[in-house]
Amino acid sequence: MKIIWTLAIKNILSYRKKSFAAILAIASGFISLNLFQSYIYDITLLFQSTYAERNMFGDVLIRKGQRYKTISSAEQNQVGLFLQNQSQKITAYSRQLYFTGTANSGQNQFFFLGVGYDFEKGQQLRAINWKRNALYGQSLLSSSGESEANIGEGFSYQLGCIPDKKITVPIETRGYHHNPTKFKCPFDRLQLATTTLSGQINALDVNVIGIQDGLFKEIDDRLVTTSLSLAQKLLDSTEISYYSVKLKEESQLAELRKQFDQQVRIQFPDLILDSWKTFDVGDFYQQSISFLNLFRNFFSIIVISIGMLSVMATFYRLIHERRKEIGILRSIGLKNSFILKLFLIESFLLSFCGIFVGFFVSIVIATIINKFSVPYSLGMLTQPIAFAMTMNPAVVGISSAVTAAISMVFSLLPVYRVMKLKVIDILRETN
Amino acid sequence: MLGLITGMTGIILFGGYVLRMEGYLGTNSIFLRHVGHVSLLKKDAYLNYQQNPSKYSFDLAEQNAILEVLQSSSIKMKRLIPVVATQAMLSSGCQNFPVWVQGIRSDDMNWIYSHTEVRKQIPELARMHSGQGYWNTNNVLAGTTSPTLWRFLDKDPLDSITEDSRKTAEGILNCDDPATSGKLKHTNDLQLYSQDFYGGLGLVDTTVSGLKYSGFSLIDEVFYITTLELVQNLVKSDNIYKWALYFEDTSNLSKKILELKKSLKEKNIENIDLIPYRDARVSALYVGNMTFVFIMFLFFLILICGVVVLTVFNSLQIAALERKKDISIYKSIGFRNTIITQIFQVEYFLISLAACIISGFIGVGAAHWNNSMNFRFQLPGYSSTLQFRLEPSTDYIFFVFVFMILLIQLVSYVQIHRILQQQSADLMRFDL
Repeated sequence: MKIIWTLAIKNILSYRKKSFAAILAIASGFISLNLFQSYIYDITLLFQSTYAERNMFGDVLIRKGQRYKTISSAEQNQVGLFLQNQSQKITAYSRQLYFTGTANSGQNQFFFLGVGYDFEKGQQLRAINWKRNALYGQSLLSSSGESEANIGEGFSYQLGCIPDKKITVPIETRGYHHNPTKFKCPFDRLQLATTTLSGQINALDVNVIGIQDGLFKEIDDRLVTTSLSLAQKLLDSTEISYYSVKLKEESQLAELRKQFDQQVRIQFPDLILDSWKTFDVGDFYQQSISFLNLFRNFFSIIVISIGMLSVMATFYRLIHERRKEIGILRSIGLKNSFILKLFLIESFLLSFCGIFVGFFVSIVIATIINKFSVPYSLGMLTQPIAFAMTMNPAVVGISSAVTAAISMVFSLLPVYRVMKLKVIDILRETN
Repeated sequence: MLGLITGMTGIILFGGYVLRMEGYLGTNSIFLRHVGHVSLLKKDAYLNYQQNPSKYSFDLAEQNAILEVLQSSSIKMKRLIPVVATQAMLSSGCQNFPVWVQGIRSDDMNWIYSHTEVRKQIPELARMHSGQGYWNTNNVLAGTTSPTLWRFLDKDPLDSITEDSRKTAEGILNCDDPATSGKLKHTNDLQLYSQDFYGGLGLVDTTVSGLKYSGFSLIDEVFYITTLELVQNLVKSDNIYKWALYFEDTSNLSKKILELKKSLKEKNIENIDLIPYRDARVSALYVGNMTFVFIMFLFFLILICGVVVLTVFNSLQIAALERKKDISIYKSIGFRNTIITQIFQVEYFLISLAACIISGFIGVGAAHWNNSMNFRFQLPGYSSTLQFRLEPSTDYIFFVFVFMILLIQLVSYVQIHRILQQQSADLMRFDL
């Protein structure tokens, strides 16, 4: 066994220029595949973090099928009891309530889309870098929540609020700035008016203490966030729209859903516990991921095809030159299986070297690209995002496995072709 | 050559996808989002109209003056569509949802929906979900909203609402009583209320004649479109927010904008903005989506070109090793390096030309096959699926060919030049 490996290494070194060409072909395929997959993976992570951590969806939502259907007090009692009993599976949970109405600054009136949430519990769902939850001014966390609100950046512009210095969400850290920039509004208090769940008009004055990014322009232009208690006061109700729950382990979702069905849905069948990705709020995420996968698959097919042809062409030439050697090895009695094994080891070593070189080159390229963090617009998001790449073991593993498999299979094809010829023909031809 | 063909076919197909997206998103923006090829607004209205609609809209006198200039302009226009818009509350009586109401004349909407570009590029988005568009009714109170908002309003399917069911919903309602408020499900009569252009309250009745998706799911939640007259009644004003200008010849929009600005300036109309549909100020969705698609395409192009360059580099390296003896003989009998370089470059030119022709045939054939299969997919944020079409244009394919031939010529020149730096004696020595 040792001899065959020594022989393979010697062969690689003897034909070093062509071996180098083979390594280059493998490395180029690996680099392209790895970089593109890392780019797609980075965007996927960005989306996941945005929904789960920044929008406080956690892992699981408990709500009714239709977004504006609310959860009554009796239903909340039952769900609260269930969540307490499941505390060993749950890291944190928060309650949120949607509300809509008109916002009057004294000069103008605008329509808004509001979300009220539990500050303390909501904070536990937000990742460290998003905890402050304000682009300008103060985070709601620092307030009592009795009469304070944050508004979307687009909405703040319509209301005439001006920041001391225009800033964007820092794309390198993916979180709000820790040093708040102040802003001024041309009004002291903003009046929020809504129609209560029983159809009455209700209004409350709030202090706008912060401006946040509403992510999507259509939402950002109308966004108001408050405490849950303030939203409930406006709607003159104790109802909520949904619970968001962060699990200790995502794999526990199926078990939790089963228990929810047994303990809660028996009494309240309208309530659903499932991953936020399955509700309408996750539609955009799901569509984006499918869309990115479409690109990734298309790209992979092209790169794999080029890599495959390039490796095959390189090995074809290499084997063509070594036909005489194969003929001699066969004529002195070596079995076909031994010769195939020898070339398999050679191609394995070349693949390994190609992937090794490709891995380091792609790390260098990704580091340079990530260092520059070039911003660009991603569809309908309000803020630009960084052109970045995130490598993870799964991405590298998939790229390595695909590259190695292609290299080894397509390097053996020319060997197999020569093996089918008669020894005498090979020797006659090469002489 | 096979590697080259694969790479070029990939670039042609991906480019075909980008061109298709351009057509889809552009047509959506121009026609269904009523941006026109160019939008004509009051100066800075795209920023301030919602804050101060009366100041940032055109009154009747301004409308007449501008119309006179536009109609006498040498730039031929297919249509001038006036648009008025406002934020409003759409109310079923017990439930209210904020909407962005747009008012457009029925005959203009008919023109838009029967336009060949709309039928060709975005048939999915132009299709009604149920009922009929307000533009096909003679009812000035009729409006169209999205199925999403209809669900939020907790209404019965539009097709199941009849004259009799509407009558059951008449009368004073108590929203606390589920039985009474449940009657609201059976009617398509709604109210729109809003602050009018002068600070007062505007309130109008409206009837939903049809449901259709706006195209973008977030907009679906605030989508209401109705007649120009109804919105002008709601805001108690004859003003309009903008004109969507549709040109006969859509090339060179910047030049047309300059010409129009000049004509308007001659009539002392200067307080205006003329914004093309490719500008994020009026087409944020189109620009945002296309930027993303272009970034993807660019990244794809760079990586594929990288792989192709390395493949050519590799293949030349091996070819040179195999033909070292030929090269050394050329050199020893007095061929200059430039001649030897030219021999290789002509070889690679012919190879890349053949690759271009073959990949062109494969690319166009694959695109035709793909388009005939009616594969469907969903763009993120869009409310309906669309056909996965690939539309590589002749100009684009030609551009790819020229680009790849030049790239391969450059790579082959560098590699051959490097090999020719060696002395003839070194080339004669076999190292294999």
